[in-house]
Amino acid sequence: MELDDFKNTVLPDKEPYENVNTQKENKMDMFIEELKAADAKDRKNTRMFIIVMGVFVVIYSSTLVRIHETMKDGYAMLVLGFALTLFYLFWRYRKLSAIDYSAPSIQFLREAGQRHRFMRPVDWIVTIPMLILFFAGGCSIIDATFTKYFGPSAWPLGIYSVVMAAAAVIGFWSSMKIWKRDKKGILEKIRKMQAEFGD
Amino acid sequence: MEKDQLYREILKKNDTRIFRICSWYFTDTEERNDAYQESLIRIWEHLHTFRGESKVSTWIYRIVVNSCLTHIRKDKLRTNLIEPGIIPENIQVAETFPADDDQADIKLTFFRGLLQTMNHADRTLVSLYLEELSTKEMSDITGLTEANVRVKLHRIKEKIKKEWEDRQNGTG
Repeated sequence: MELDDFKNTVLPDKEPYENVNTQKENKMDMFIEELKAADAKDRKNTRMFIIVMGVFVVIYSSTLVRIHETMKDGYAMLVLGFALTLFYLFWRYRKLSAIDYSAPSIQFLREAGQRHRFMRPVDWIVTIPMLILFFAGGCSIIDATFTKYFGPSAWPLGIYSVVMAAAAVIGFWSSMKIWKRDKKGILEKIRKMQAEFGD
Repeated sequence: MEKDQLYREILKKNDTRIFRICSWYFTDTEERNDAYQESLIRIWEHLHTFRGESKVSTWIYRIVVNSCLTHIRKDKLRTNLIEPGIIPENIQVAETFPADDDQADIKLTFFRGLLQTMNHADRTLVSLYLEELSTKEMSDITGLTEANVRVKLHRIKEKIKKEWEDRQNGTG
């Protein structure tokens, strides 16, 4: 038995559309309509995201202008932190919808492997400044508020720091659990395929 | 040309081959149909990215192969968008052999079983080889070097021959 035996056997019809029937054309039309609808939905989602980001920036910028001087820095940092988060999420969403399926398989698998890693360098580059901004902004606002009503005290900042640290640890732990559940297996399969392709 | 017109043209020329490549990847009908559907969706989604740097067929096969590879690693199946009628009606895979040719039937069943034991790179090369693509095209699609494609194909051919002989001799 030769591999070429099957080459000759399984290529009986090169042009299935030569004897196409109307029913099939109609089904193809319906399928294309479905695809167009999916495109429209994707564009709508992107537009919505941009609108939400715009509204968010406008609202917080106007708040920032009106807020008391002592809290301005804190709010500015929180706004920056939120903005960074939104831009990052938007970037990821765009990146995800721009997966290049027309790349050679080896490159496609390599890129898929990168995408499915837990905490890529870019994630750290965004997450760390984001946490610092939230932490510093929160500290600044809490300190200004408590000092204004109760006088200076280290307790509010201490409690806030503990809460923030706990939130960061829980956030990290839960994302790792989710990644292990959803992505780890996929990443292992991708690496296996990469090895099979000799990459 | 409008996107949907172009898409229709591409499918008219290539849908049988797309379907057959998926058929070599998956013996399970549902999985094969899902991979075929996924390929059609990806071709639609990427149509605007085709810049004519490679042949349309090469570009399409890359998408099909990558869709099959993606499908293999998915645990959950997508909801079916596709109507069963879109699948080429006169496509023949297992049924291609004359009905009275038992030996051919046995060979095909054996070959398809053997394909399922192959790794993904080998299965990809076999499916492209059976579509009579050149070594250069297979190299463009997979990213393997032409020499590597030739070596792998040679090994695959040897393996098929050996496995079949073993089976005939009752040692496999």
